[in-house]
Amino acid sequence: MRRFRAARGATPASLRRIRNRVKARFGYRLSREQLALGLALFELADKADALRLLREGLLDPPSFEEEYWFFSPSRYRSQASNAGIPVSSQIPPLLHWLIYGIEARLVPYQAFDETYYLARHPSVRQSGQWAFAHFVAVSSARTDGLRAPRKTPIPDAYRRNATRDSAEFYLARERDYEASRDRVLNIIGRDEFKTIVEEFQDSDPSVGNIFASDVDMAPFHDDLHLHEHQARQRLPRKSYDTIVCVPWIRMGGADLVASVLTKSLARLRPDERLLFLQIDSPIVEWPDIVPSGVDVADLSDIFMSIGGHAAERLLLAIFRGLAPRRILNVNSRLCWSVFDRFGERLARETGLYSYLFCWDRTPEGTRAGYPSTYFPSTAPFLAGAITDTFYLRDELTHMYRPPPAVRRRLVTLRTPARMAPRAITVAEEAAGRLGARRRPRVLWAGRLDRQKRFDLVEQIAALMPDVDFECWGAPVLDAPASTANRPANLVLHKPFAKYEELPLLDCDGWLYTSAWDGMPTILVELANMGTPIVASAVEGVCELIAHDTGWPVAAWEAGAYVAALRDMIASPQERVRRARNLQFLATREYCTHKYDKDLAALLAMEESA
Amino acid sequence: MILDRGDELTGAVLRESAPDYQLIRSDHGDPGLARNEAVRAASGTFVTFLDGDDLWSGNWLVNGYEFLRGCRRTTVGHSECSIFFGSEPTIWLHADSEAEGFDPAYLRLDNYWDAMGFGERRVYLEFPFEANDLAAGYGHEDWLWSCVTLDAGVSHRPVPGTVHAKRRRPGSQSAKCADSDVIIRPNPLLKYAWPGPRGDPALAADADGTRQHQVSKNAG
Repeated sequence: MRRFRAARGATPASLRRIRNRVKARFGYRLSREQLALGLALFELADKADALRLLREGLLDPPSFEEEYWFFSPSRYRSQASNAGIPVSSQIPPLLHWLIYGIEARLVPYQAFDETYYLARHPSVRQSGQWAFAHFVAVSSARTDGLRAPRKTPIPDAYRRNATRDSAEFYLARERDYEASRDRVLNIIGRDEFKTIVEEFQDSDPSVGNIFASDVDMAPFHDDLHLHEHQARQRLPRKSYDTIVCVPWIRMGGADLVASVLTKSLARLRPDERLLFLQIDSPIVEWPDIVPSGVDVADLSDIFMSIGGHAAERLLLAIFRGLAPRRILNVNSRLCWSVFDRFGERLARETGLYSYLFCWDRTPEGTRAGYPSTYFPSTAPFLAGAITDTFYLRDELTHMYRPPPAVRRRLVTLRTPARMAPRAITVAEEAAGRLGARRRPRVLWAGRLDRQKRFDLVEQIAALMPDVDFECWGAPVLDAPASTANRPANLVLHKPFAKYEELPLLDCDGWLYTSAWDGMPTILVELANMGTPIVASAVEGVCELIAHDTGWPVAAWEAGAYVAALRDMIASPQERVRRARNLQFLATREYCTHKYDKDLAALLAMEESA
Repeated sequence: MILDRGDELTGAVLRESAPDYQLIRSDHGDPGLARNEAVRAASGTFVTFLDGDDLWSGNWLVNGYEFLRGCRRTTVGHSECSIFFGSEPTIWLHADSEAEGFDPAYLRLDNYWDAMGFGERRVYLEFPFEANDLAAGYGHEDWLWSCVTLDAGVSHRPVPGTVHAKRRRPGSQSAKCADSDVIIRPNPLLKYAWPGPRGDPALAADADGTRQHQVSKNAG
């Protein structure tokens, strides 16, 4: 009979050392039997590492508590308290169990079912032995010398937050695993097995000494099984028509687009089942982003804990499991990498769509980001590549020269303004209040990051000491800049939460200084309100701010912005004229009706495909 | 014996060492299609497979036959365990689809059983292996076959006391599948809404109609 391996380093001397240290530190003298039972308990969890686990459990409980499964300190504390022998903070729970808990027959292993065990072992019932001690001692002795099948531990976070279904799943898994250990003994522990292996070795010596090999039995060795179960527990349904994938739920432009898209899908296809899937990060800054009636699931912690290719495999399995008609990605990196790696095949099962926003720029000024990383490789099989500006669509077309069939599926959906247009523009109303202010006032808001060029705002303010600049923002991606050179006529507030917080009716206009951009949602909202705007003439911004709708600035130096601001401030009439044009453009092109119509046209291509 | 795109040396070895066997040369370049051809060429009630560089325990044929004769459901027998030798030696225990805790959902992530099963020839004729298409990114014909047959109500069970030894070597189909990052073809079992096995092909015609399938217990 083969035997499981002995615990590494578990000699009488090593056990005596542990006993002496426990005596010296806590004043308790453990018997040899108590130590043996403790060691046997850990051998069930990890034969090779049992001695270390025992030592940590008795002498260094904080790390021990996190580490294993066969002794649950929190469960034991609760049991001991209920039994009238509470565990004081001066004694490790394991030591308390060996001294008091064994005598009180408290079972610290949550998967152990005494009734089930006694039913399987009637002789134990008849003898009146404590079932758990029998289980530990006999299991450990029977497995002495052979390798147990590998088992991936259940992550603490899953156990802590387990639903009733999950708890049952985990307990059943433990029982099934115990059965697989029995199988190892019944198969590999038999002398017949040794004979078969010897015959194999005679036929082919390269078979080698297989008794040193790992033993695997699916699914216990594969942590993806646990992660997939956890993911399924969080999915409200078994199938969906549409999945919208997002990285997180923040207050950014892409998050707003995801919200707009989801609401539009819910309007266009009210009878279809829709899932909003959070994939890359657990951040939720904006919980009401999703309309009521749409299912939401956050699997980000699962994917983050796995990482890499395994996370991609799991997301693929979830996509195939839910079997949606379409998947729309709005900036999820993991979803992009799944599209990139498996998309050509996945596209034969479900329609794949992805939003593309503007490129980012490296500090050296080079374009970087998803449009370059993923568009060339995924465009051939995407049912729709969606941009929020015609600029980006045209740039991608110019750069990569996609054939007509791919070009037809590269479409622009202009993100609509969320607020209803004002009957009287901001420019008109502000012009009516001019007498109330002694100095001109210009507003600015944005992230205090390299892209948004707040440094340029400071330069402009320094060149216009007669004008007040009120700004809102905070650094998000970059380190905070120095405030040493900030001019006195510039005031910086924390980011605003609502447009109502801004003194739009008591200003001369808005300043936008980004060095690059797609279509900033803030500009769409300001346009919809009829606000005079001086803006960098960059990329998608030019589709909104032209010479007839605002003051575009094509030269990226402070003097050019100063000239445009001076021109805007000098003429209230011109402010009103251009702001009205801007509002007209926004209400016509950046409205929900048009977004729904354009999205419906894109989805209609599914039927013709 | 099927020699699929075998070289001259292999052919010569086979002719010399097994002159009594019928040797069929094929040009599929695919393990599943080669097995299908073998099944068509066979004439018995049961078939089982042995890949070129693998080994059966001496009791495989007898135990497999006895085991299947004792099964009331349509069943494919597998070795109780397989020893992988060569690179990354491992002992793999085959799961029992009729065991109480068997979870078919794992087949969405990976395979329980290899292709060296023992089953009725009619099962292999009804559910032939699909060809791998590594260029298109589809492979793991044995995994797909596990899904397809389980979906159809076929049980997969280990045959007590039997062992296979399988060489892991670079360049094998399974190594190529791993290297080229292939996935299995779409099939009903991959979906969370999978309703469970459709019904045992043999039991479907059973007059009493009282037998139930345990494998549906954890479906979905």
